[in-house]
Amino acid sequence: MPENNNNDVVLRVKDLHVSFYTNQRCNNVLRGVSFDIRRGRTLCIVGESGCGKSVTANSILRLLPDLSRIESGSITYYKEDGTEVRLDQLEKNGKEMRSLRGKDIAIIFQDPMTALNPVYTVGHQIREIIKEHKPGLTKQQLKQESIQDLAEMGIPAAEIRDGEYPHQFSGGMRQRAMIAMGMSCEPKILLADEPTTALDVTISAQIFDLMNGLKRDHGTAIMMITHNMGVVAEMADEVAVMYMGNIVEYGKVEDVFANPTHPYTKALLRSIPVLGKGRNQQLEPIRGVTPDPFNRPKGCQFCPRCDYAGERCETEMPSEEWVKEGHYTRCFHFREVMKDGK
Amino acid sequence: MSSISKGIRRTALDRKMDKIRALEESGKLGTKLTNRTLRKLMANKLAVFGAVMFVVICILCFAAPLFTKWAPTQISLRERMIGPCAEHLFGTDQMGRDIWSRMLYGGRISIIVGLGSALGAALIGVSLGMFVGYKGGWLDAIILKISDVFLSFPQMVLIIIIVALVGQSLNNMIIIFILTGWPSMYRMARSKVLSLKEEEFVQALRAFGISDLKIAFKHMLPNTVGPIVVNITLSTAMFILQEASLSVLGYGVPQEIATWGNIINVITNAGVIRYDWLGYWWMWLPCAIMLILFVLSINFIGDGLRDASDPTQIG
Amino acid sequence: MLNYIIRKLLSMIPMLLIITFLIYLGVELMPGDVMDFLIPMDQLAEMTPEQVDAFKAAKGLDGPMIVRYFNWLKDICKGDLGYSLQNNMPVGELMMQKLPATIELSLAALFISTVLGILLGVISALRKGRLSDNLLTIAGMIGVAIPQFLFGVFCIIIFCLNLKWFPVGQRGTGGLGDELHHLFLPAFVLGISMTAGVMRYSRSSMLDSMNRDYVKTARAKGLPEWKVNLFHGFRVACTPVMVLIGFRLPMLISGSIVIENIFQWPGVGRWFTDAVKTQNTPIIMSVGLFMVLLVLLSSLLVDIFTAVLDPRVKLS
Repeated sequence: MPENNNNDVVLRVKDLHVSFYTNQRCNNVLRGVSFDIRRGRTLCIVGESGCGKSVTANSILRLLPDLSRIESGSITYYKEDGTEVRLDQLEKNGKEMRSLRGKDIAIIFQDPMTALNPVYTVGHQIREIIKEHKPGLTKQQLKQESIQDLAEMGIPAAEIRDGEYPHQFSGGMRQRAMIAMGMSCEPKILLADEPTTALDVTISAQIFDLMNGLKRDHGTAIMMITHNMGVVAEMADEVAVMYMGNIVEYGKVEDVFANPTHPYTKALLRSIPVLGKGRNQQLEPIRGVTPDPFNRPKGCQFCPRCDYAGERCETEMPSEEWVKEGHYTRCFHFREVMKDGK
Repeated sequence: MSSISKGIRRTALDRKMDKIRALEESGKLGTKLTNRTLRKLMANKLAVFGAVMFVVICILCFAAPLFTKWAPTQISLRERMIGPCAEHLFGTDQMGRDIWSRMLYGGRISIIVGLGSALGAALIGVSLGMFVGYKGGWLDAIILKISDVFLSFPQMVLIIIIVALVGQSLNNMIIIFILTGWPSMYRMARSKVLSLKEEEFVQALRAFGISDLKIAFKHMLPNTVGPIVVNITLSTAMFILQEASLSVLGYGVPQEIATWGNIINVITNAGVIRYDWLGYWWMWLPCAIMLILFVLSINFIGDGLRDASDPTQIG
Repeated sequence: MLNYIIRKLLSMIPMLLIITFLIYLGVELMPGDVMDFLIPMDQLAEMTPEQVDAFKAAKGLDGPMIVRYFNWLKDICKGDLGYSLQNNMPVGELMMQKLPATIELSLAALFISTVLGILLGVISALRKGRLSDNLLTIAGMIGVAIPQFLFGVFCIIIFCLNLKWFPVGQRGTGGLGDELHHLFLPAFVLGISMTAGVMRYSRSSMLDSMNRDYVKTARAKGLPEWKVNLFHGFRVACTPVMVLIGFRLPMLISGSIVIENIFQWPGVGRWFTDAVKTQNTPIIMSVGLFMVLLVLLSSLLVDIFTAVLDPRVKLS
């Protein structure tokens, strides 16, 4: 864990364990996740579906479903005035947690169609959050703010759009409205849960520009969840690769991409085509399938699919090993992996 | 990962979670291989309770001679309206007939009327909905309109009008129930078919050139069995209730045939409560309770089936 | 909006034609001569066969059935519903006497079942899996399993005969207080099975709504739970509940027939069953027609309500 607690860190997650209790079963979805989110930087969490990416984001805002809970670990939010707030210890929908939601930490979801309430106008839904955190504004001022928020996110004719319903918006516009809503109280941290998965490529590029602009202009810390390595390359300052509830590799994006130290990262990088490399690329899909979460491997979760797996991997989960400053991995054989290069 | 997050109020839910987690960690919760629907149904205590009650009442009714020595029609004017005693478990009615015997034999008729009507309505409604709904076109439009007409009558009004037209008899009752019950079955099957029609596996079957009849009944029907069965159970309950209501108004199964409705009906005369007879509770209360228990058991089963057959529900 | 309503009304016309035709078919099939329904009986008795024939010709009763049907329809539109076979009174006039009682009872039952059903359903959904939810669910199922008339009898025995809280049957006559006193029990009994249905549906609708992403968005905005539940969860859940209530109205009307009998309520329902017993065809058919109109009207109301509640419903 990077212990250099410089003032950049706004949110620190440490050894977070989360379990889901559906179907009378217990599923350990997060099994010790640690990372930092820093001011003015983007952390990308990448991994396949079901690996716990979204759960991580929802745990930070305490938006987990009823039949789940944080078992152990900590989530610490560093306020601007220097105080620390242990988010994991706050009451789930209590006053303190609510005062942080939307104001200090905002989240945008994958599908803007379902994330916006279909029966209210977009403007109303933006004003709702402003009203909650800046009480005392007049109706006029509220309306002005919501229109301005929409306009800032590049929505044309914002005065008209403000009074329209979500179903009258296109997918890209909806996501812009969603970001406008998230940014309306100028949060310190923006959690983006696959914000462009439901959108086409050109629209996602515009959304990414928008988010980079926020980072640049407001110093917003962004945590972006994605399953797309291309997005990571484009957006991330830091990257955390997740597999079956663990961060298996964490570091600056240049380091991780240049020197993947975990077999899973390496396999992921090999399985995607690189633009400009021509058509004769050897793409290698990762062999095997993701294990059943109720029937997990005993040791390293990636062991059954790993080329480097040894005896120890079968019985023991590797702990976080520092490769260099700010770059760690969870693999017993990371030196071999590194030596083999990309 | 043993310690639970500190400082948070521990609720009953937390304790339950602890229990599940302890079981999970000791490896006791393996993957169960039995049928999911069956498993969920068994886990639903109300549904199991309902099923047991259903079976018990059915056995009592259909094996009635084993449980009573009296015939339901045997009149004994010397033993009129006597209370429960060793000889007559629930006493006798105003004509000296044994109530318990009438309840059992009457249950046969009520169950047959309810279940038969529901099955008949389902047969007509579902096959129309399946095939015609799948084919579409003018035939579908016409049948849809017909069902619209039926559905725009309040059911009781329609039933009473038809009874007035064709007269009262057991067979007429079942036919009328089927006639008034099929439209909602048809609607349910049709809407299910219309949504299934858009599914890719159906598109694929059509692309293979498989006949419409075969697609409708062989591939789509199995996908709608869940809601159909649920609907049949709930309709059975509804018809049994309606039979009872109708007999109170005097339009049900003819008075001389024992049914649950007709037995309970002693407390009313032409729709008006006979206050002077309310005191003879054994004449109507046991039968009313049996009817309520039976309808309740069907509803429990139907409800359990609905939950169990709905794959989108977890937990 | 007005446009939408007018279009909906126009689209009901073919339906009405079919239904009125069916009802007319019923009139023709019913035992007895049509003439009996059109002229008060005492007058009919004094008419000579020639006069009767002349009347038939004038009314077009000697024409083919389709002509007779349209003549009948024309009369109905003019408000002429024929004459009661029992007391020679015009059916229209009688209907006007009976209608207020039925409307009063049905509206009260509708009110009780809507308010109570939605309230209990939402509470049940918000407390899912808890004791109160389980109790409400079981109570709801028992509510559906008891035949309405039996529930009425139980209530009369408990509340009227033993506790003497309410008068037995009849409609109140002595001012508003007395009327409400008489109205409450029958309305409650009539509303109870619908309450159970509405409660169930509200519960599942609310649960469905509360699982949607927008509820999570609302929480992520920092809204307090009651706002999340009310303005986001419930606001969306109430549309399908309103639709269900609209579609259940016919059941309420069906129920009112039984309840009016049990509680000696002087409304259309009891009048209807009496008419069937005496084979008073003009009344049977008029009431049938009236009830169908009520059902169609309520489905129109549902459409309008949904359009108001849900901006996604297109008005064009």
